[in-house]
Amino acid sequence: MTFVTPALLLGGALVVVPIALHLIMRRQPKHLEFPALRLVQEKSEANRRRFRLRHFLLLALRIAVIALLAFALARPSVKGTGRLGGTDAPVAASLVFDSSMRMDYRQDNQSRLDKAREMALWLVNEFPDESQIGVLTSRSFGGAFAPTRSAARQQVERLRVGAVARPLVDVVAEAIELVQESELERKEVYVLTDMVAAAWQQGNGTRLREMLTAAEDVSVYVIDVGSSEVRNVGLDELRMSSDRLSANQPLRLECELTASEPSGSRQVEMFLARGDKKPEKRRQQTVSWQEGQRARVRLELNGLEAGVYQGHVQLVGQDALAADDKRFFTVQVAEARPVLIAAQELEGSLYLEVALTSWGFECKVVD
Amino acid sequence: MTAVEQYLKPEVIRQISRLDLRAQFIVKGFLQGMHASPFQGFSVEFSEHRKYTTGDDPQDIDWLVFAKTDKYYVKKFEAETNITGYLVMDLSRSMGYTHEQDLTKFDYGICLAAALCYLMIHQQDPVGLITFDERVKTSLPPKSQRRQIGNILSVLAKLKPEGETDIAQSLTQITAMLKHRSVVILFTDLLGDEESVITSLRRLRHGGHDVILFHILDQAEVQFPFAGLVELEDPETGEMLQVDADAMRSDYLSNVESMRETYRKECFQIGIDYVPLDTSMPFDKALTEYLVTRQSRG
Repeated sequence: MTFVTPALLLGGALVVVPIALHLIMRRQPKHLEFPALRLVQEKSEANRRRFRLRHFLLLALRIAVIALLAFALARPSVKGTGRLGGTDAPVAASLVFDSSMRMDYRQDNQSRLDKAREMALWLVNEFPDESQIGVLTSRSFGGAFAPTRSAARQQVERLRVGAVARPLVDVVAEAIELVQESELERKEVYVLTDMVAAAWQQGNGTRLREMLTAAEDVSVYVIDVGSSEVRNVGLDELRMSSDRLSANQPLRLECELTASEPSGSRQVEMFLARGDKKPEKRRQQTVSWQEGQRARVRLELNGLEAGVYQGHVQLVGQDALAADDKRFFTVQVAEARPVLIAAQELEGSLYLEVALTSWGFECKVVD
Repeated sequence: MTAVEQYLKPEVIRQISRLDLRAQFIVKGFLQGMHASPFQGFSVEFSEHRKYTTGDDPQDIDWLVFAKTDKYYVKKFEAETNITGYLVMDLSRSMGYTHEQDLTKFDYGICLAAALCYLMIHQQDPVGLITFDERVKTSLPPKSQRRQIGNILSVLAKLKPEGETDIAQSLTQITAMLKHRSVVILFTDLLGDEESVITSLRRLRHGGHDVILFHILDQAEVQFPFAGLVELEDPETGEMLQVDADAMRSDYLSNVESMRETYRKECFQIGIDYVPLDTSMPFDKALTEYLVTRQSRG
């Protein structure tokens, strides 16, 4: 037990006042003539005993009142461990969010991040008074306890998906470190994730394992906001023939289409823009897949003039996860370097010309 | 309360210094108030007469009464109507007590005694006076003349309650003193040994006397209005006792009620009229008791 204002406990010393008054200022009885004394004497001994008892009880009550008042004014504070069902004890809690693009997967009109946010807001409201709440995500660095419950609530409400800055494993380790800094007895970490294996394969897993073993006073809860059944079509990473081309070289793009749906097909489009111009669709093709198989997407574009091009390849239509429906690329096209081929026979230089041209040279043959 | 009834309140009587006037006030107030009392029709004026019946001597017809009522009444013989009364006054020191009332128990008693003396003389009843504390102190033989009022009142006015109490011994002495059947009207606070007092009352009653016992207590002795720690002193013995008045009150009241109840029962069995009074009560109650006794005899 501790006290918020321990100095006020000194007020308990005032209990000596009623004791002193009891001892020093014994009340003198009022003297009265009373002829019917005989009628009083019969019960007077019992009356005297009762009176003395009442007097002492009154003194004890006065002492107790002063002591209790001093105790109450000192504002005692008892911190429970929460281990024996003391759920009213304040808790040091870290809420860890996987806020990668994958958490934008929507099902039943709700993304996984929406679901995680909903769970987290409920937790924030349920934590006891004087709890310390920290919000950590895979998109940002550094974590600290929010100054108030409503500040924590706001942080949760503002969560958005985005490019992952650091692995989820490292974020969980940081969350454990954060709660261990708190003086509160109850220490809890809540990890809200879609439980996709890829999210846990990066980062320092060994360090996290050691920390979990050492932190016996920290309870870690993993909240699965993922789906058991996933239906999605997406494009894997785009591969380019080269990100620097000459003007007479073709641009070749290739990627895999991954589908967790039954057999189907979808349109794939390529958009390209040079400089600040608006992207234009340059290629389109239909890609079909069989259930359980991946499909390959190949796109080729020729005759690009010199310049820097920004482009993207996208799946036409909507599905549960929009983040993997579009892949971006950038390519720089340079003027072709001229090469003069002097040949005795034009026919003999043909192969050389083709080879050099394929390398992006502009050949001129002279005999 | 009517103007007449004001005369019967102790605080009003206290304002009259002369005892004879006090007595007159009480009696007149009582008599005038009687028109609305259960004793309606009771006529003190004609209490010495009875209706004429066949066989009565016509010379005994009171023609004044006939002139007033058109009815024939004969005068009763004095022996038939008169009761010799003795006013017996407790002079012990405890009777001089009052806590906050207008009259001490003694003052209350002598006002009552004076009023009864007045009333009885008015009825042409002989009245005497006996005072006592540990034993009989003074006595005036009973007389029915009007000047007896002055004699008795003058003795009563000079009395001071000073001595210790021995009611039983005094009553035994009084019983031996009385030669003829009388009405003994006792004014006392009965703060003595109950058993011996009751025994002496039995003895008095056994002597053939009618007894009216006015048990006078101060209002404080009846209600015990004290609070907190008090030191009580008995004025007769000097004995002192410290008590917590608030805690003691219920036991004390129970004791007082028990004492009164004991006397009530015993007096009823003996045939004594027991009248519990306290000094805050108007005098009409006491006077009514006297008249009831008078009526039963007449």
